[in-house]
Amino acid sequence: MTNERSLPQARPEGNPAGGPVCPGPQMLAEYLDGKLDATHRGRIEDHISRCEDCYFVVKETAVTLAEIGVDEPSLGGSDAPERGALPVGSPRHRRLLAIRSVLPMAATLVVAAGSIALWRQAHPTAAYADAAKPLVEAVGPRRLFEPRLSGGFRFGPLLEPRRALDQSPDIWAIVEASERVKKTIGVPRSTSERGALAAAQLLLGEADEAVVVLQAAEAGPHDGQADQALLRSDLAAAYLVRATRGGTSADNLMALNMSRQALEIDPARAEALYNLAIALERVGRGAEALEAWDRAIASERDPGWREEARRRRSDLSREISNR
Amino acid sequence: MDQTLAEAHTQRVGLENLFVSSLPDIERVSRYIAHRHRLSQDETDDFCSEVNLAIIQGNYAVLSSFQGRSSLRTYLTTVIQRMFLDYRRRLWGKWRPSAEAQRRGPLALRLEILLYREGLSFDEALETMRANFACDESREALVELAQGLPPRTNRRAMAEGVDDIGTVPAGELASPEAQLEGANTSARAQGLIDDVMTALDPQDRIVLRMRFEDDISVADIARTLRLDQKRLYRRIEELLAGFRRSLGDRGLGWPEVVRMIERGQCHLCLSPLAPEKAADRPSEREVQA
Repeated sequence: MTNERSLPQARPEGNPAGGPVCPGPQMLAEYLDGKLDATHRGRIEDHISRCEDCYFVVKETAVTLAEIGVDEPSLGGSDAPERGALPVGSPRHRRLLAIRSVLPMAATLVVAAGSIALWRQAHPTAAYADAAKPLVEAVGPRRLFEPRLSGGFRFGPLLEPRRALDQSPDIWAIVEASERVKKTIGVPRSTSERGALAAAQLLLGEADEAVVVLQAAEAGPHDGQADQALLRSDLAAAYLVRATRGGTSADNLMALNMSRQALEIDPARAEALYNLAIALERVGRGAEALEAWDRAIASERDPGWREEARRRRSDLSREISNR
Repeated sequence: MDQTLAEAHTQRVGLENLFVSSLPDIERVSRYIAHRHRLSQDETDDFCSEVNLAIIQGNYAVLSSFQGRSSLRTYLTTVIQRMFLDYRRRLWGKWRPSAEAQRRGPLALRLEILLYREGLSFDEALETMRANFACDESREALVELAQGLPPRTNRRAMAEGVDDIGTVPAGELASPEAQLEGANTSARAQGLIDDVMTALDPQDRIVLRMRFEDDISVADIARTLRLDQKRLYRRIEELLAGFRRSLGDRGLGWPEVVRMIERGQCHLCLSPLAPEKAADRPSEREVQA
């Protein structure tokens, strides 16, 4: 119950003077699943019979499960999102997509490499900077995708993946640099190598692989809190990239979670604020996204990125007004 | 240190995987709830987004709090129902829409709120619907809708006198006296219902309410409360007979009660929960045991 009471859903009910505390969702679920013995069932029923909210929750849960739960696979069960079960969304399929559209993907990912350069600018980690340097240089003032990687990537126009080659004929240089970084690093042994490898993978359209590498890097040993914030911010960026490349809406939510965690460590980290705002926009939290853009604008030192944040904020604000 | 980090990583990845695999179902449950309670499209999107955010909040605290003592599906559905309760409370306050308004859809729900919760006159409600909710229904259509809603006590009118109600073109509402009388009757009836319900076993209270207020089938009640369905039919008959007898002894007829329940004027429940002794509810240790 201790855990349950810490949940947002568990709160004193029915008696504003602070009388009874409602059973948490875990206990109500146990009641509904018939996991309580007769004595405890009786007590829960006594509560439910007198508490409007718990009665509502139990009744509606029973109705909902009866309506939609019978023929459907269970939650968390085998009907994993399309990514796992369906060929269309599988990592293999995404890789195939990436190969088919290697140029556009590469173009998008080149921009990510640009973001990596900004990472270095914000929290210079020499080893990481060295590892990512070829990517940052190859990307230059361009972007291949919306989210930002750390490491000092420069601001530039966002290249549309399908027209990347037209827009940036030297896109092959980015692909080449990314492949070279991957080859040089081989099996990453340090945080910086993992970060650079993930950036290269993102630039090559291998978002799944980049996520895996960054997850491992984020959990591994670090040079300090700054590293941790940086890795979380980049992991958020990788989730956001993956979400647009055949991923699921869960990717946007995981990006939101990861950006917030990065900001818990480093509240002024510009890349994390930028990624947070994008994630909030994507999950439909307009008002909160506006606040995040405000914070991103306030924290940003690079005029290009600052202007971009302003533009996005303004677009979003207009869109909300039009609704 | 490394081991701790690795464990944290494993746990987080585990929660992420759980979240990813559960998300389609979480969204399906959220949308079903929104649809069932007639939220508008915007409200539905907003609610679903709130649910998702709440589940990832605190690094998937909702998921990490799951203790595996029930199915994950039941647990998450319970969590989402709680969230809906909070969401609806923010949207409407502690207002409970009538069954009729719920049947008629979002427009009727909104109109009922404006007329009976906000205490607006019909013209004011009409204006608000058009200005704030982009409602382009004709006046005649809304009049018809308002007339189809069950008359309920207008809180503002009760507090300020009855003048305001006179402009509402809904049958019984045209008479303020009738409205006041209705309010007194329903308050008296609710008091009597409370008396009778108090004497019942808690499970019987739940059964009665589910069957006669929420119109849940006997099969579903049996499933929810883990009761034998055949016996439950008989039990409900006995309960109803006893309930009617008790109400009759107090001078209240069952048909009147049914009508008031349908109009949302009375409920088959007790008054707000009285303070409960800690010993009356199961402790965590007891439940775990």
